[in-house]
Amino acid sequence: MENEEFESREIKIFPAFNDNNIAIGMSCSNEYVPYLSVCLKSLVDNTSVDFNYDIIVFERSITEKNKLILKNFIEKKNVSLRFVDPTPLIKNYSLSYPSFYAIECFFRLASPIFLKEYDKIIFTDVDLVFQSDIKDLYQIDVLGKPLAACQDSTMGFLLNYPDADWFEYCTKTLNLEKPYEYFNTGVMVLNIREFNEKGYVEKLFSIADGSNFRILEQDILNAFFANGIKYIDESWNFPVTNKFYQPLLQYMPYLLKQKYDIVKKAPKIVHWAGSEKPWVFPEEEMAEIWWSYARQVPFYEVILKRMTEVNLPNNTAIIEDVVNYKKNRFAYWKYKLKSKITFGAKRQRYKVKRDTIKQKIRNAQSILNK
Amino acid sequence: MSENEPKIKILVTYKNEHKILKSDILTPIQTGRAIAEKNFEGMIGDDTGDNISDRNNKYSEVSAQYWAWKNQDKLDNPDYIGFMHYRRHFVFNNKELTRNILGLVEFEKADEIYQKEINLNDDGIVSFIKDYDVVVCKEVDLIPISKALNNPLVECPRGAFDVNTHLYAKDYDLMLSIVLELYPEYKDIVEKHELGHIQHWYNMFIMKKDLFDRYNEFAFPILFELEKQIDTINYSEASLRILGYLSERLLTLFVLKLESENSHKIKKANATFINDTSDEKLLLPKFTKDSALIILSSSDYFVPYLATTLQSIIDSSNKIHNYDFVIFTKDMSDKNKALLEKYFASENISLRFITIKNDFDQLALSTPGHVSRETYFKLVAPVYLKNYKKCLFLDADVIVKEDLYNLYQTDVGGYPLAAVASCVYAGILNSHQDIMDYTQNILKLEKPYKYFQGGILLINIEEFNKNAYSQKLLDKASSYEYKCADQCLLNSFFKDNIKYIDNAWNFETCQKCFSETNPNMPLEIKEKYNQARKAPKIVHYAGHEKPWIFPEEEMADIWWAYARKTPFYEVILKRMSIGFVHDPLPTLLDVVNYKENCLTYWRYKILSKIKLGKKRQHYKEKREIVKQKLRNARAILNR
Repeated sequence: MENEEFESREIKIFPAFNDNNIAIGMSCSNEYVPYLSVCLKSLVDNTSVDFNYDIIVFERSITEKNKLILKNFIEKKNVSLRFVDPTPLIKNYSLSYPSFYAIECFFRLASPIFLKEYDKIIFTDVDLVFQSDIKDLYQIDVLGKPLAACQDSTMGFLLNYPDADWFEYCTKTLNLEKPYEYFNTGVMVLNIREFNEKGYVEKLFSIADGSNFRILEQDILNAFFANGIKYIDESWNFPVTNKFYQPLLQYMPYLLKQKYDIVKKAPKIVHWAGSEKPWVFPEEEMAEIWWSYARQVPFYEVILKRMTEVNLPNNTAIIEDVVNYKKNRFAYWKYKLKSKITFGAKRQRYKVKRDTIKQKIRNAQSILNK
Repeated sequence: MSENEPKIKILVTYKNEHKILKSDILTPIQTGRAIAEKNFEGMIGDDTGDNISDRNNKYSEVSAQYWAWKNQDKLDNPDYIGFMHYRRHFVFNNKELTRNILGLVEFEKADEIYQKEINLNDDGIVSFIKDYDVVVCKEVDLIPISKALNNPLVECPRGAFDVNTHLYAKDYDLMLSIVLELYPEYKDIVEKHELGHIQHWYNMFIMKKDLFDRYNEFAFPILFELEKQIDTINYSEASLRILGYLSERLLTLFVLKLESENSHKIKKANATFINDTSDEKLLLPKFTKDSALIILSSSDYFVPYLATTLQSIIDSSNKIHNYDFVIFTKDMSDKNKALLEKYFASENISLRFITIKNDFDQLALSTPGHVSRETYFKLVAPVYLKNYKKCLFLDADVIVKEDLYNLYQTDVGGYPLAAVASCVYAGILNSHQDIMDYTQNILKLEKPYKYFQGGILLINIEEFNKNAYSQKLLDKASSYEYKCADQCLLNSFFKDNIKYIDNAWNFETCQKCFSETNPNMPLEIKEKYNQARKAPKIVHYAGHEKPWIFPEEEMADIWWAYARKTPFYEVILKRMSIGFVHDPLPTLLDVVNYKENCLTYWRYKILSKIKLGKKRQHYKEKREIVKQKLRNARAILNR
């Protein structure tokens, strides 16, 4: 992709404050706004009056209503909150990515293009809370390096875990010489100037396009920068070990584990990077820290309602299958017959339909035969 | 010990603090003391003189073996040197004992009975080993292990390194090549070892001094070379112990070598494995003065509700007093313990936990309905708290509104305990004749209205221990299936021979389950009850409808006010919401099967009329079940 095309869009963002400007970027969907509000609340609760905090949320779906609630809740004399939609710029790229990754994941890869007025920016996920002033992270010197990030200690045990192929994946697919230095991109300081001078954005996107990585945007950055980044103290990105990771901790390299245990006592950022988010599983490790901020946000009751909803047993689908049992049995025979008398793509389509219905019949039978 | 008997030192290694075994012969030693967080009391360390204590992470207990080899003078130059471990000991007699698949004889605890059973005393040790040059563990046979694991790889000595997820077979191969390189004379032994399926594991042995030296001179050059060559930078803590594991194989090789020489008297002895190595120390008071000892008990699941009670106690506490909390539990996770401590402990508030594992397992204790087994902990608490005079026991379904220090100060006199007469129970007595009969005839209470509430007890520990009440109560507990578990037990045992305290200290709210019986309280008791309701010092949700499930119950709002302040609030909310959702599937089934069930109902109805005796009863029951299903379906169909 050509540089000029980016330029032509003329999205230019100027720092919100003239001096002592601490720039923080995040990307978020409208669905995630309640969790973003918790993250931002923790950020604001750990700020200092001597610094100015310039928060930019890259998004494409947040409603005006939610933007207003967030702005009213978060903005202060020394805290600015702005929303930027980068999709017009990156839609020119034909991005392929597994469906469980939102396009928002790629916003951070593109961000240096529209942040040319900045030297650097902190970019973080929203599934984390700040326990320390972010200005200390911003002041870390990233000169000569594209970015600063923490070694990913969860990758440490995944690499050693005998029943998985992460070691092979990291060394062969990602081509990492030092796979144990795999970094987590949930908290990064991006050297914007370096990114733009070296044209990294275009290069990263050319890797993203058509790639088949597991942890898409994080793997792209790891594969591309191959350990050539600035590593920072792990307390800036403490990955909570959820109940699935807990039994794997024993495989973590010894030195890493020692550091992990120390960081755990006083993490500066607590990150729920795994699938067990605190807003669904309040009994998970350190979830009470997340909820202590959640109780203070205007979306608290929305969060509670969602927590209850997602944890309810989902019976609706099975009820449908039971009610439609006879109809489905008829449909099953219809598709079975059709799949026998047709050919090629049509036969294939009928086979798929037949199997879908077969599953529904099985669901119903499992109830009816109780 | 007589002059001509050999001088023996057996080092017992400790990596963590456990019950200590110590005698003239048994010498406890802390391994890896150079890198340990603290020095364990009552034992030597492996970090003096020439030592590799700081490499204990790789060598495990073998770092103590190196120390003993290089520092024999510090052990008084014994004739025999041996090694056992905190939970693995030799059996110093020739009894036939059942060994587990790993070749070890399992015992629950290293108590006196155990020590007698395995002859673990200095005289026993001397007479057992003095005729031998070497004692090692009886062989472990790999074939049954491989069968149990259903993995033929494990039949070979190398196999363990293939299947153990923390070990690497390449390290085992490297060991063999180093052995052959350094000691070509071991070629036949290595071959025999590789073809065989016998191992002498656990780094346990007792050897005469010259053989001990010879073994170390053989083993350590190999281990040091391995240490140099194996890149352990990314090894996990368990993988790092590789040299300890490999050392077990070197011991096996060495034993094979000695056997091949045919000139040593080798004894293969049984070795034990202790399941519970905890050291039961009596709890000492945390504060020297102005302190109240408060006992609660909770399972791991119950922690959010326990936290709510704690929150209320602490909110009504006074800075000038100290509060010494001891929480009895069976299964509380470290995570929850740490969380409770983080949120509730402070300068004048201490939180400690006692895990009770086995005390109840042998007892057939009755735990009817909603009463959890943890409620019985209060019966045994005095045994663990001999250094205290009294303790205040609280159920964890209470809210405390008044400084508990004041209640703790109550003079119990010579009574075993102080408690509150249960007004709610009085109402039940007046409503149900069968409960009155039960109270009078089974519990044998002459004054049934004096039945006390067991949820809040000020226990006279001295009096309890003097009379061995804990054991007597436990004995009695298994003798009858009481309606209210520990509460009925305590009443039946102590009758009204207790100190009664003001009802405000245990106000039982009028939950739904009491709503029909409470109006029947004797007038005098009712007045006391209503008086307590006006300003309860402790609110007790003693019935079935706990506030965390039924927030609309009486005084549940008080409970929730504290629950909101705890770090568990959202867990409590989640459980409440999810626990309430009605599962629609069974009803749906009843609707779908309605016609079929109609037929079945009539079939059972007819069968129950024409059959006799047990069969009639059987069909009647079936009929009733189907009838309920029909009702469920009609409730939907007739909407």
